[in-house]
Amino acid sequence: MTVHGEELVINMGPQHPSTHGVLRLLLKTDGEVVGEALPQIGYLHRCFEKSAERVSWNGVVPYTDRMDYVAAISNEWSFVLAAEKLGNATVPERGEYCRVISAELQRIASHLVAFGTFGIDMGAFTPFLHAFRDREKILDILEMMSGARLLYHYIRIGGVMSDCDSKICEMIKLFIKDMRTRLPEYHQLLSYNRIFIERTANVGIITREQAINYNITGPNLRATGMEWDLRKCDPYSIYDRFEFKIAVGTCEHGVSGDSWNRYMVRLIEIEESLKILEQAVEQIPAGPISAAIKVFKPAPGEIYARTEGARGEIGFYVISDGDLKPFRVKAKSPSFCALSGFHEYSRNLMIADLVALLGSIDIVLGEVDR
Amino acid sequence: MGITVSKTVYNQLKTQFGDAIGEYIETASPFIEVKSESIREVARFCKELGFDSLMCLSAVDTKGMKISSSPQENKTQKPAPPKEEIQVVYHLNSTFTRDKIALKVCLDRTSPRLPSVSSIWGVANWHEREAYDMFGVIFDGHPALSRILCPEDWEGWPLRKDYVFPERYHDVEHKRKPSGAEFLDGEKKQ
Repeated sequence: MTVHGEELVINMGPQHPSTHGVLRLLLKTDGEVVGEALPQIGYLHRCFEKSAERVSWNGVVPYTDRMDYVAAISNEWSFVLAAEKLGNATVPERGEYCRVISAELQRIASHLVAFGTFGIDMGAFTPFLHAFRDREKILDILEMMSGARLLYHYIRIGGVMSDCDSKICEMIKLFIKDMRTRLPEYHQLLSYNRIFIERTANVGIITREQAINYNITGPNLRATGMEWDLRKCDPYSIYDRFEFKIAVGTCEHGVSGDSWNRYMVRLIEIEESLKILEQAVEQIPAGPISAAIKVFKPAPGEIYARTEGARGEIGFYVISDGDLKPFRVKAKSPSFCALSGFHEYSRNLMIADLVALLGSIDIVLGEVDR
Repeated sequence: MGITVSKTVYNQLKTQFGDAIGEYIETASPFIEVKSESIREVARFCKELGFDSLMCLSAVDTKGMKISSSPQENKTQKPAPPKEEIQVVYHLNSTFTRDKIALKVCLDRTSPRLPSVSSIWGVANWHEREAYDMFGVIFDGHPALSRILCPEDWEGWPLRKDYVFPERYHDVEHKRKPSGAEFLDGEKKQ
């Protein structure tokens, strides 16, 4: 597209509905075409890593909740996994199942938010209401499990905080049944809507090379057709016991790595997560949910542990010097990495398509800024 | 990821770069020590070996560390604190073989400086800016090294262990008073 007017620099955000939080994009525009979009971040910076050095190992967990507040459980799990590996703590069977159940519920909840808000970005308001109605059911279940609606502090070092009892399992079974009838509705409402396809297919393409160069993980990488899911590629916990497929971009519309495929991967992942939930609820054994750890004090050492969160690989680089507090905690956040290459894949897009690109990457600013 | 894999990579690096490669240290996630001058060449070589993605780049300040996180060579000795230095750690991942390795560079605390790897992995650009922002590590050859999370005019390196918390920023005082202090002030006035 060639428009050769005067270059105009526009600030998009930090208070803009489609930047999904306090992100400021510095757009160098030529007419409607964006020459360069430079993300300016840090508006939500709380220096989580400094706070983490001042509290006990278990005390860090609630701080990790507040990084990615849309999918808090995934963050907790990643940090706790790192701490447990350092301190050689073991988790009882039932505890592992509780973790899988909560994490998969959380993944669905997070993808529902992505689905709903992406619809709004593209000018469709109805899907958002449907998504939030269904997400509310998950929040109810998680509230039954942990006592909190959004920031759970559910996963603790050595296990989980409270049990996923038979009543909750029944609720989950009902939810799975219900959600399976909703997914076709979602597809009818948004996925195969002509206007939506026109707005998203072939728009905002992130190639596989770009994705690997900028270490984009999770649904955004899988949309390029690459089968990379840490639950299968670097298995942790008990994920090797469940049967599920790695969701990849289908290319039914558009090309691999475009906005439509990124969107579609999330909806397929909801289906796959439902499969895992179904199996986990069936298999969950009786027994304790948490190991009895009185004082957690891991031996000196360092570790990098990672899990597959809703937005991609959440990693924690943790160093212990044998104290009651971690010596250093570094959080690698998938949204931060995904934004770091934004200037590259947003080049020569229209401003309206930039919104499609940003919405389909599905960032959470709490996690970018930490 | 077996420990054997990183041992093979270590041997390959050692034959290629010789003295620039330091020790191979086994902890929960083993890492390879690299001299700061040659980190860019080592990183490029690792990428050619198949480590195509940089998972994480972190800086660490070891000041005040009680016991070194790397195991002691002499087991009979009492565990000693490590040297005070700034470390930069690279966690690499291969999407072909699914292997992981870690490289570690140790730098002088007074003027931490090393070559940038942002030309090798695009994601390093922001990670290096973060390390500069939080620790004051200078990356030579970085296209635009500036603060990323803190405001441009922020003073000091927040994640260093000897960081002094500022009491005011832009004429706004934010020193925390002991709880109930305003109540005590009121009593005094009466």
